[in-house]
Parts: sequence; structure tokens; C-alpha cells
Amino acid sequence: MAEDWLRHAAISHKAVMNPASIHLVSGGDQAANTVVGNDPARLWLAPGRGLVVGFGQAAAPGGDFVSDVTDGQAVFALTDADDIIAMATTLDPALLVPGLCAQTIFAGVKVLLWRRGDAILLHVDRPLGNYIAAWLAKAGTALEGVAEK
Amino acid sequence: MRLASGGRIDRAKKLSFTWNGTALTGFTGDTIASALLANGVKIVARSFKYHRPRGVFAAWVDEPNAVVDVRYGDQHDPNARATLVSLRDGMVVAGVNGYPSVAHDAAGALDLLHRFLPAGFYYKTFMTPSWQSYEPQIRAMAGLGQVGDAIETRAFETRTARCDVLVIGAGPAGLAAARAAQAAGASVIVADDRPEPGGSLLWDTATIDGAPALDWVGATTAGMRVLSRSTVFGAYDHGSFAVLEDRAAAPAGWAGPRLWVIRAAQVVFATGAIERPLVFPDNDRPGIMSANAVLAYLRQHAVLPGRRVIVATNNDSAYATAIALRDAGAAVEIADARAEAPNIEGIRVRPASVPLGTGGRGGLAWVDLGPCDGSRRERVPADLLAVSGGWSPAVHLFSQAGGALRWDEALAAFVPVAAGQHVAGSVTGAWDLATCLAQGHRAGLDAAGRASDLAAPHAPASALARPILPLWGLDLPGTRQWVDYQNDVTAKDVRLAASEGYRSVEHLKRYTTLGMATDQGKTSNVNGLAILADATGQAIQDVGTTKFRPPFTPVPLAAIAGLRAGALFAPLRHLPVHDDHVALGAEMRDYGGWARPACYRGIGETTAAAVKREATNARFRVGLFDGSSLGKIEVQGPDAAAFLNLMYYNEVANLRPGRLRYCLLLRETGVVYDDGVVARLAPDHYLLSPSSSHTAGVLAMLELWHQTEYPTMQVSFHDVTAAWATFAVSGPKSREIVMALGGGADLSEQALPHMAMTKTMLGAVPCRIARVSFTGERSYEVSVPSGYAHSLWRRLLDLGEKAGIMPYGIESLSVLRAEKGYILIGTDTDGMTLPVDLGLEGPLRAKKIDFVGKRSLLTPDATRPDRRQLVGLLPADPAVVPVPGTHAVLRDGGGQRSLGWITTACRSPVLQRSVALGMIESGRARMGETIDLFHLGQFSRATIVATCFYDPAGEKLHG
Amino acid sequence: MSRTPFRTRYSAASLLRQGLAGQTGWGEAWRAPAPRPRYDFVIIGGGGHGLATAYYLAKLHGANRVAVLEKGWIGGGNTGGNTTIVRSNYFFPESAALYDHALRLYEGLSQELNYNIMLSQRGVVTIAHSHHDMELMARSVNAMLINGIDVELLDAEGVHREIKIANRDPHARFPIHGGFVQRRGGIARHDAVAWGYARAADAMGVDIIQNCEVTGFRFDGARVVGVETSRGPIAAGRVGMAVSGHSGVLAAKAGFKLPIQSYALQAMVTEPVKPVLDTVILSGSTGIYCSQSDKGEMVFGAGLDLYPSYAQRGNLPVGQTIIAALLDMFPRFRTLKLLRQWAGIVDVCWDYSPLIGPSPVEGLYLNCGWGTGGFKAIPAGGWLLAHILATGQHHPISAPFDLNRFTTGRLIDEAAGAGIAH
Repeated sequence: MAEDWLRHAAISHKAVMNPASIHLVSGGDQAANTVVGNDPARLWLAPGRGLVVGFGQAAAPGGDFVSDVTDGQAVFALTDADDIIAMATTLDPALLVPGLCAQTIFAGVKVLLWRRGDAILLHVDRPLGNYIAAWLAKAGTALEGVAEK
Repeated sequence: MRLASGGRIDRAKKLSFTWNGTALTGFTGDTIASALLANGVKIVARSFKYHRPRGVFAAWVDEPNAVVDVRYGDQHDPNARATLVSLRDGMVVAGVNGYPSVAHDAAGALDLLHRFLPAGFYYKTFMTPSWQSYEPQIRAMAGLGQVGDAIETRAFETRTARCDVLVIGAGPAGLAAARAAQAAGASVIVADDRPEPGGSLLWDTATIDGAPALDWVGATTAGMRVLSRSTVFGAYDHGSFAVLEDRAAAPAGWAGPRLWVIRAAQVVFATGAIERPLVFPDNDRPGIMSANAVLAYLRQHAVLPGRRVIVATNNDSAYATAIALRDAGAAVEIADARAEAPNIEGIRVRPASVPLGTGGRGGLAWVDLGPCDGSRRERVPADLLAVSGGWSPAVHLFSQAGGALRWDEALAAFVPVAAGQHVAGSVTGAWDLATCLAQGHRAGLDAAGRASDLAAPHAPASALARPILPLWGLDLPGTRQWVDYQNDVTAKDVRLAASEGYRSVEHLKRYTTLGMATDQGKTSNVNGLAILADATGQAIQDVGTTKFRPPFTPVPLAAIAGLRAGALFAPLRHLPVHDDHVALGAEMRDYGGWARPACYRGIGETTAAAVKREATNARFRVGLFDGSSLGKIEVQGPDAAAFLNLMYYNEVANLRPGRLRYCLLLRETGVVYDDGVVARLAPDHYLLSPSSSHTAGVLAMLELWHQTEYPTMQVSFHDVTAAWATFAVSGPKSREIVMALGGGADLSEQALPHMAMTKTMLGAVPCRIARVSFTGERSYEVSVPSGYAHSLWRRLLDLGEKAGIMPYGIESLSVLRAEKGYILIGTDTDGMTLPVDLGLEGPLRAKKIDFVGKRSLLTPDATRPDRRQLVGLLPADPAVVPVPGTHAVLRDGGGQRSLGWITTACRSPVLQRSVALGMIESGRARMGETIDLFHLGQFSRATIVATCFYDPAGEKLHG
Repeated sequence: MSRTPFRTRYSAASLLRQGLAGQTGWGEAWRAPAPRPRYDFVIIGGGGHGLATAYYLAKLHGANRVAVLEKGWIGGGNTGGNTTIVRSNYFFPESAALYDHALRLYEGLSQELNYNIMLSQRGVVTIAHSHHDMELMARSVNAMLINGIDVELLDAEGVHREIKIANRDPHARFPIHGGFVQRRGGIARHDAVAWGYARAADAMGVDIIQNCEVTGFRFDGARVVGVETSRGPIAAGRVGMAVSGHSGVLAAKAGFKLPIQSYALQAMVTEPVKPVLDTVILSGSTGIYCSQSDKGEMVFGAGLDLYPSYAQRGNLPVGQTIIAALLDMFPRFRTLKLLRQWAGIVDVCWDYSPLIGPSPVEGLYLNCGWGTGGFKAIPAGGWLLAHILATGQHHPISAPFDLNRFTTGRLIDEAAGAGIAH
């Protein structure tokens, strides 16, 4: 039986959260750079294009064209992230208020950022998750307190 | 010498350091330069060309001479500016470019030949027999410090920030501007390159709003974002500024210097001014210093650089230095170039007097003073000559940001022409404190764009300054008057350049190298161009300045690169089962930005042996390949078929749902950009599989054409590459293994022929199965959401164990596909390959509609018969595998001409001999011909054959 | 040809004489004449290519009514701002012929112009960073050997012998797998090339007119018969243009378009240090190229700021990428400091090969589209444009680079030849 051997492996990194579902949706619209809803939350990607993220349970978004990309992203939950964002992007973290999302370049790779609760969620293509993790680990040591030069 | 009291140093914290091996001491708050001066060190460096002795001249970024080698712990700076480096306990400081030492440099003998080594002399000689006969010696003498063997391993941090108003400079004008802007509600960042804000207020006994200036500084900067030790070194487009913060302390493993990129809606340039030297004979002797720098050393570091001082000036500012020196106990005299000079108590003032020459071994001992025409001279003993030739506003950043300049005759300075920009303080040529504060206040409000009730800060007005007497060197033939100290450029060199026709200020710079040393001409540029103006009879305004470009001062490369170093230099994508490959002993390589297995080597197994084993196994039993990096783009919409038909070379609109077709994507030039399998899942739903390294490019191409040329077509594109893992099970035993997965998919020949796909569920997990082959064997690509990749990978290995399943890597796959003549984009094709070259002419003839690149397939060059075409090659010696890149040549007479090249070559396990693919001129017309091959001068032979070496009928695919 | 009559012949002896005479007898390297109303040949653009064209017109074709019109000061454009690399290690026979023609002219140039251009043929090493790179490199090396270019394939050890300070870490992000070297390649002093040609051309009677901007063209029917300038109209028998990044702007004034995009290309210089890099290096993966000047400065650059611009600035993100690439190749340079940074305007054709030949407008001839590779080609660019201007015909070396290749489709795509599909 497939259930015996087929297991879903979540990404086991301390900063990575595993949303219940993530879907790319074409169709429908919302104001640019907005987040509509909380669970699921629909994040604006482009005119007529959004990313629907389900947390408590998997969302099954309606729409003309829906692709399940749950396993295609690594989602990092960053707390006290203003310094990290200042080190990795040109984005003003103060602009990331609840209800807004931003696609930007983070340490050289394309990411999607938005605020949810206490954390800033960083969505990146999963194959680049290892790179982001390495970068976060390195950058984090800059915030660990200052030693005499 | 060090004064007993005063200065902004911490006398409780004494520091030890060495200078050229000699142990010396200083205090916290010293720079290396102030500590050397306190210890009476006169010669700190040598000039670049003549190796003349050089002493410390200035106190900050304008320093032209004191470049030294500094080691501190495991840090090493081979070209440190002594005036900018804070002294630390245990620092090892050494001179550079002087042997055996900078104090006694053998190359100083060159100076004796100076007559024959004017500016540009190297353009006039060193031609016989050739430049390269002289180059090694010249190179050895050039250069300052030495790059060490150690590698800087500390990490460099980068930060971005933004504000409404960026104020550059925390002197009185800058702080007044920041205060006003902040009061008006703007978010403000102040950047200043000194360790603490205040600028000239740090050494001044001024009062502002009735209180000591430093109190005002403290009150103003409280609650303000101030970046100290921060040099704004570059102005870029869209209000973007690069700032280097040289932090005093950093976390372990991190370097002090930190790069800020600040985006400002408005900027206030309060960047101050830089003092110029006077130009007179022998003005480069150690012991001659900028008057303002002498004041700085006195006030900041409690250092008296001399006891018998002459202050030579053509303007009022140097008087403050003279008075301060007198009060510190030095014997001071003033030589004022102007006809009228005031009386100063305790100081002899000589009007209409300039230095006419200097002397002294190992440092200054006397100065000749007299009128400009040299008609009289009086020799005055002195160990310090403090000079001021005027002030040059620091307009670098203003100019980088596009601001224009104007030469102000009265001020004898280039000043900014503010046309909407905000400037304040001595950068505008203003001098007295009250004016600077008022300008700053006004600029701050203008930059904030809002009003405020805050009153401007007030300081008592100072006495009117007497005008400067512009003086650009003395007309005394036969003397050496220095303009650029580091690069040894004299006034005579400037005049020589002008007389030889190098009359533009940029030609002057390049011909004489004036301003091209590490100080970037901060103390020499204006003097030089003023002399040029005089030499060419032009107005200084018309001569102009050289173009200002970043960086304002030299910036460590590592700080600009930031964290983009080592493993973080460029991202490397991991496959979903990356760890499984590594655990299996895979040799991982970077293929198009993805870490992928080249092969899986057993213990002691070579790559070649592993490749042969894997390929043989996949051909005759069953192999397992990770194809997860292959692109997966879903295309959906009522117009999906029509749109893709416009994009692709091949016909895709007539593809039946459930079927796959191998297709090419062309550029507008007709060149094959990518190949891949197009699958039709449903009438309006396709799945494209671009090659791993082209997925982003293909997606961009689709979006570009859709958005710009066919925006009314209803179609969308979703890149789901990372969401699915795909494993290819390939070989005669592949079907039984895939069937054993379960899911109940009908894998019979009728239901799933070659180039078809189906979908099923493995439990609750969706699974796509495509029957497509890149090996030439029966092959199934099984895809599941990548979260299940590890389970599926392990399951397939388990299910296939009895059948002898082995994973195979890219190099092994490459052998299998080579045997079948299947191409690899970027290996068998390049930026010139058209479909016809690959033998794929069908669609061009059959496809009736237009498609991307079609027009380019009809040009004369695209249709000529002698194009290079893809063919197979069998080397004459079956045991020898030619190197890919070997050319086919036509040898006629003495010469040879390339007919093309080998693109793929390997030893075929199934044929047990070497096979190759290549692009050969008129290849298809040459079947059976034997041609010459050329590799690095060696020749061999090969026969042209069809591209498919194994199972040309494709029976293994369909059986 | 007879010895060019220089006002003062440069030599060690002349330095000696003038040293004793107080540098009073050098005379002008070139005159500053007022423009005459008419010339047989007018060259627009006083950079290396324009000045070389005028020189060869005078020297090889006996032309004695030639003017070079430069809107600023000579050598002030890309000629004065490149990274000074000369090489001819190109893939296609057409390119090899073109650039090697230039390199051979460079080899005798100091003597010919009596101006030390400081040609240092110290070798140019191109580095491969993967197995695939090495295969593509073998293809290029063989092509060059067949075309008679002096190159040699190197394995990793071979590269490290040439470049002792390169990154030896086999686990570096882009480790060095090998490379190839052209020993005759190297560097030359860019300003000296412009000044040397200017002085020699001037000595043969060419009028070099600076601060003279061409504002338009004069036509007789469809034929260009002169130019309008900021210093008045000038009639011309034939007009050649060699204005690199501004080619599109000038073409518009003559009423035609060029298949060219103008981009910013950044170049950078570090502070000078003692000799530590003895060859020129190029890296395919990172796009970096670097050499150490005779003054000791590292001179380097990489890829374009990929947005069309005439700003001659470049921006920080690309600058950061370039520097990161340099430091990845040379980790020991992490202690060096950036001293100067600038950008030129490079005119780029689709196939990254130049445009030489007649323009669509009669009487007007082109030498442009050199993109990032113009400095190494200066002698050949000038030589070939002079040939076309003087004879009205292509020389066999320039014929493949004619504008009509965009109609026939016969592009000369060097990047493609090297295996890069773009």
C-alpha cells in the first residue's frame, strides 16, 4: 500500500515553517502587493496572479488555473527580522505591515516577503532553501553582539 | 611632541605599537599619523617616482603621503592611510616602497636624475629594443604596499537604509540642517566620516545659542540617526548613496568596515572643504604640513608637530593655527603673501612674504622667506612650516550626483551651483560659523519640504575675512615646486604638459598623473588646473575640473562585495533528494546552477568506470535517474494551444491530450534556444519541460511575448519546477518496477505508448507518469510532489533491487543519449545552430502559421547548403575517444580550414568502441566520407555516419 | 615610406638633451589648428579608432587633406577608459584575422609612431571553471590554432603556474579546471595609443580639431558632402565615423538606424601594490577580466550594466557583482581598496561583432559596434576604415563585418562560437 512507504518529508530547518498548502492561482485580482485573508491568505504576485497560502488546513482555492506548489517553496519564518532584511534587501521593513507583501531580491535570489503575526515569512524556491539557510546562518552571527575589534 | 594636557585622547589608555620595528607608544584616540608625529617621526613614506622622503602632511582623507603597511592581529592592510587608521594596542606599522627603509631609501638616488625624468618621460623612451626589456624593473619600483599571503577571512556586512533627508557631513552646517529637517517632520540620517559628530566644532571654542558648541552638538544629535566614522563615497542614480562605515568594533568573525546603501528622497551636501597647499620651491620636505591639519593635531591629539613654526598663508584661516600654536608654547612666525597683514600679539607677521625655499636633512630645518619675485630672501630656522593656499570645497559627491560647479574668483574656489540641490556650509565657500548654521538650517527645511517653527541656531558673527590672494606657484626658474606630492608632479610638469599640447584638464591628469595617486588629488587638483589655466591663457572656469567619480576615498573591495563570497558567492540549487545522492557517494557537480550527480562512484572506483557501469546497467537492466531539475511550466487557458503554437518551432496545437512531443524553442534569430518535451494534459492545459538551466529564460520568453505582443490571448504560465520531483526509471525492466509502485495506472502498450503520459494516485498523493526516454531504452518518468521525493526514491531503489537497479548520473546519461544521437542543448548546439542544422526541417516546411524565429530561417545564410550539420563520427581508431572540441579540417596545400567540430564523444559501452557527434560542414552530404580531425596540432581520422549508433529503428523504445 | 617627420624625435638621447635644456625644446605633440572649409576625408571621433584612421589615410594612402573632429578632447571616450587588454584569441577565422591584424600592428607600433605605447605581451589566460567549460575551450583553442593564433591549452596546474595568486581551493564556488593562454596577448597604455597616433597623424598634416562637435550632416541629394559642427560647416569628400557609444545618435542625424544598443560598461582600478599578477586573466563563468598595470594597480571589469544608457556611470549592484567576482578569483585581493570607478558607453551589436563598412548613406562610412572589445582592435579598425575611405572598397578582412550581415543572416557571433547560447 502506498500509505506504507510514501511519507511526506517536511523541511527540517529551525526557521522553516511548513504551510499546509501553497497554490499558484491565475484569475481573480486584488490591489498590487496586498495580502487578502489570513488563512488562507492570498498574496498578490502580478495582475491576475496570486499565491494562496493555507496554514491550519490545506486550502483548495478556486480559480481559472490553480497549481499546487506546496512542496515547491521553502517558507522561512523570521522573527526580529528588520536587521536581516536590511542586510539582505533594499526593502524598508517598516513598509511590510500586515496586509502587504513584497517580491524582492534577498541575498541575490528572488523571494516573497510578508508579515504574519510576529514573523516575517520569506517564500523562496525550495531548491534555493539551502542557500537562504546558509546565508541566514552567516548573517545571524553579525547580530550576536559586538566583540572588540 | 605630545603636549602635557588637552586633546580629545584618552590618556588613561596608553597603547603600544611598532614603527619599522621600533617600539613606540600612543593613546586611545590617536591615529597612526598623530602617534608618529607625537613620537617625532619625520619620514613616513617615499614618493612614487623619485622616491623623495615624505612626511605626514594632512590629518584626514586629504593626506597625500602617509601610506603605510599595518598589521593588527590577523588583519593586514598593505596600503593604509596613517591619518585614517585609529591606533590600536599591538599594531605593527611599517613603511612601504622604500629599501632598506623609508628613512633611507636607495631608490632616492633616482631624484638626482630628475632632470631627465619629467612628466611623461616614459612615453619618449624605453622603445628599444622593446618596452618589455625595461618593464620588470619599472614594475618592481612601482606600487606601494605588498599583497600578503594571508587571506582576509572576516565577513563584511552590508545594510540598506532609507530616509527622507540624508545629510552628508556633521559639521555645524550639516547638524543645523539635520536639526531643522527633523523638526520639520522628515526622517533624517546624518553621515560623517569622523569618530564623533561636530566637524570643525570639535576643536573650536565657539558658542552656539549662547552655549559651548559641543553642548549644542550633543543636544542636536541626541535622538538623531547619526552614522559616525562613515564616509559617503558614492552617489548613484535615484538618490542612492554608498557609505562605508568603519566601525570601531564588530562581532567576532566580522570586519569593522560595513557598507551602507542609503536611499534618500533628498540630500543635503554639507561636505565641508579641503585645504590646499601653497606651491613654492621645495615645498615637499617632511615638516611641511597643512595649517588646518596642524590645528587638528593640536586640538584633537595634543600633538605639536614642531617647536619653531612658520605659518605661510595667502588667506585668513591659517591665523587660527598660528594663534593656537603660540598658545601651546611654540615659537611662531607668520608669512602672509598679502600686502597687508594684521598685528598678532606674540607672533611676528611678515606681509608680502612667501616661502622661497626650504632646507634640512631628514626633515625641515629652515625656510627662506621673501617677496614673490624672490628679489630678497631671509633664512629663518624652523622645524615646522604650516601652509595654507586656500580652501577647495569638497564638491565631489555633489558633482557625482550631477551638480554643476562655478569658479568663484573672489573665493578662489570651485563652488556648487545649486539648481534644486541642497548645499550648506564651507562647501559653498562660506566660512564663518553664523553663516554656516544659517545655511544649514535653510537647507534642512528645504530638504524636508515642510515648514517648522524651529529657530535657526545662532552664533556670534565673526570679523569679516580679508580676501584671499590667489597664488598658483612662484615664477622662479630653476626651482622645483610640487603640486602632487605622491606622484611627484611639479608646476613645471604642468607647464610642460600644456606646452606639448596636453591642454585639457583630463589630458593634464593622464599625461602627468596629477591627481591619480591614492589621495585622488584632494590637495593637488585645484592647484594643478589653476597652473594649467595660467599656462594656456585660459580662465580657470573654462579649464574646469576632471570628472568626479566614486569612490570619494579608497574603499576596501571586500566591503563592497559584502557577503557575496565563498559558498555564498552564487546560489547553487539543490535537488529534493540531494542528501540521498550524497549518501550514495555521488560526485556532485554544478550543472547550470544545480548541484547534480555526475555519477555515483563506488569505493576506489574512477569516474570513467562508474560511468561505464551505470550506463551499461541502464541499457541492459534498469537504471534510476533524478530529473527533478528539469523545468516544469504549466500553461493553461483557452488560447494555450494557439499561443504555444506561436512560440514553438513544432506544431503543438494538434497534439492529443495525453501525448508528448519533442519540440524546439527558437530565438528570433532562428537559433535553437531550448529543446524539451511538450505534454498536453488537456485541451487547454499543457506541461512544458525546458532544460534545467533555461527554465527561467523560457518562462521569461513566454511572459514577454504574451504581455507585449499577444496580451489579449487568454493563457497563463505557472512555473512548478520545484513543486515536483521527477525520477526516470530506464531500461528493459523499467515497466515492472513502475507497475510495482501501485496506483493502478494502466501501463500497457496501448494505454501508455512511447511519448504519452498518464496520471494516477499513490494513496492520496498525485503521481504523473510519462513514457519518454532520453536513453533510448523503455523509460518512465515518475513525478510526485517533491515532499514525497525521498520516499519515492527509496521505494524505487527497493523495488528494483532484485532487477539490479542502479542510480545513474548525468555523465552516464550523456553516454546513453550519445549512443542514440540525442542532442544536448549547449553542447551539441550553440548560439548559431538552426533547426535545419540538426536535420529538423519538417516544421519549417509544414507549419503554416508564423512562429518565433521563422523569418530568420529564410535568410540566405540560413538556407545555404554548406552549413554545419549534426552527424555521427566513428574515429578510425575505435580505442581512442576524441576530445570534444576536436575540429574536422580540410587540409589543402600548406593550410587548413576548419569544417566544424566534435561536440560529443565517448566510449560506447554497447558498441565497445568510441563514438562521436559533431557539427560538420555539409555533413549530411558526406555520409561515409573519412575526414581529418585536428586537436592541439595532432591529426587523426574519422568516418561520417548517421547520428544514431544504437537501435536506429527505436525498437527498444517501443518493444 | 619615408621616416615620419616629427617635430622632435623621442628617444633617450632627446630626454638627455631636453633635460639639460630645461624641457624647453619639446614642442607640441600635435597642433591645434582651426578647421578648414574643406577636407578630402573627415573622420568624426577622436578616439583611438578615429585617430588611427587618419594616420593610416595619411601614411598608407598619401592623403594630405584629412581632419579628425572630436567633440571633446582626443582619447576622452572609451579609448581613455578601457581596461587596456590586447589579444586576438577569437573563435571565427574572420575575427581571428581582424584582431590578429590589430595585434600585429600593435607589435610594431611604438617604433612606428615613435611613442612608447607600453605594449606588454605578458600573456592572456582565459580560465575554465568546469568540465563543460574545458570542452568548449578545446573547441576554441583548436579553432585558434587552425587560424594561426598562438594559443596553448592548460590544465589546472598549468593555470596555477601562470597565476600564482589565483584561488586554489578545489571547493571554491567556481574552481579552476584549466584554461588557455595566448602568449602574445597582454596590455598596452591606452592613452599613449591615442596620443601616439595623434602625434604621428599631425606630423603628416592631419588636422586634429578638438572641441568640435558634429551637429548634423550636409547632403547633396542623397549623398553626404560635409558636416555641420559647433565650429562651423566643413565640406568633405568622404566622411568616416568612429564614435563608439554615440554611433546611434550620429546615425540618427544622418537619417538611418543602426542595429546597436549602447550600454554602460564599468571599469575599476585599485590602489597600486607591488607586482603580484604577471598575466592578464579572463574568466568565463564570472565574466571578470583583470590585469596589473605597470603602476601596480589592478585594472578590472566584467559584464555590462544591462540597460541602455549614455550616462557613463554604471550602478552599484553591478559594481558589487564585478568586485565579488574578482575576489572569488583572487581571495588575496580582499585587502585591496578600490581607487577609481567609471563607465564608458559601449555600442553592442546583436552578435557582439563590429560594424565596418559603408553606411546606408552614400559618402558616409562606419566603424563602430565594437562593444566591449574596441581597444584591442584600434590599429585594425583604423587601418580598415582608412582602406575603405581611400579606395571605396572593403579589404577582405573587413568585408565580413559589413552591415549587410544582418540581412544575410551571416552573423559572426563570438560568444556563440565559444559555446555560449544567449
